[in-house]
Amino acid sequence: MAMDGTENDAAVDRIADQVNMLQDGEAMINVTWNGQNGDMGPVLRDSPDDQVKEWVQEAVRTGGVPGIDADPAADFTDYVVDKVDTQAGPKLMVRPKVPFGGANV
Amino acid sequence: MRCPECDSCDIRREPRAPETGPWDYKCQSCGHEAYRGEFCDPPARIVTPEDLGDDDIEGNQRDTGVDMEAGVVVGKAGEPIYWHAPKGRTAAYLPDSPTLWQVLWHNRTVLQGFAHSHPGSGYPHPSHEDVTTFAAVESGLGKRLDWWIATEDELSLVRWAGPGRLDYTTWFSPTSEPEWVGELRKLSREEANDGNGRN
Repeated sequence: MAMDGTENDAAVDRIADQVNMLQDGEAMINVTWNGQNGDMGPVLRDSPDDQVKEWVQEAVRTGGVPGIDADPAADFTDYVVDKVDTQAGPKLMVRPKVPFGGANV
Repeated sequence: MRCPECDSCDIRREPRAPETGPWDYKCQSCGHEAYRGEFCDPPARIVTPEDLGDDDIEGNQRDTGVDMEAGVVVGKAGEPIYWHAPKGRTAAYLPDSPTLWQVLWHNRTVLQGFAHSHPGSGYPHPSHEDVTTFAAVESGLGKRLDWWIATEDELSLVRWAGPGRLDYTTWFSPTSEPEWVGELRKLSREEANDGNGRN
């Protein structure tokens, strides 16, 4: 536990708490929506992407993700899930897709 | 943005008719009109993939011989922030890219939009993949962006017009093209060389 009370130490403590909270096979979900970003979970790391997106959509619609304002119209249809290992443990990053191309509309 | 004439920050986009292009901006304080790049922003630091500690820039590449789609992230002053030529791009597709999303997210306060190329000539229209990506990115960033599509001889600008999530409108034939368009076309047809994106 960091002892000098700086902001950096507080951040380190938060990461440590998050790592300690995770059990084997679990991951936090990181969500980006409407210019805001927040974590929710933990969930099983191997959860199917569609399931993760459903959880996230429901949580954002009802204000269940700390750091993200409730948005009843939130729609994660065109989002993707990246599974990454971070300093704070495994994370499922839910972000907008960014491919381009294909047939014209 | 600040007006170079009166230093006001109240600058608004003033869409023009298609024949003159939707490129102009107007100061609401003194009435000064200009292309957006002539209104200046306070210097803002641009975040690159290297700044993010992403040393695997997804193999940004140049491909040999055949025209490939390419992209560029454009800042508020009209400056190119990040050239996008990911591994796996083809003549008809730019694949999904966590790195591109990271660049868009970390530069969201200095971002005007994103341009990509369609090899070949003629008036470029967005694909269904394009507009669903436009909508997803804007929902993630919480802001609307400008989306350009360039062919060898034409440039279109696509913006959300509403009311539906995928209701985007396309303008053609702007009176002048931003400087980065030529470089984007070059990146679309360039032969392989350095293997990394440019910033």
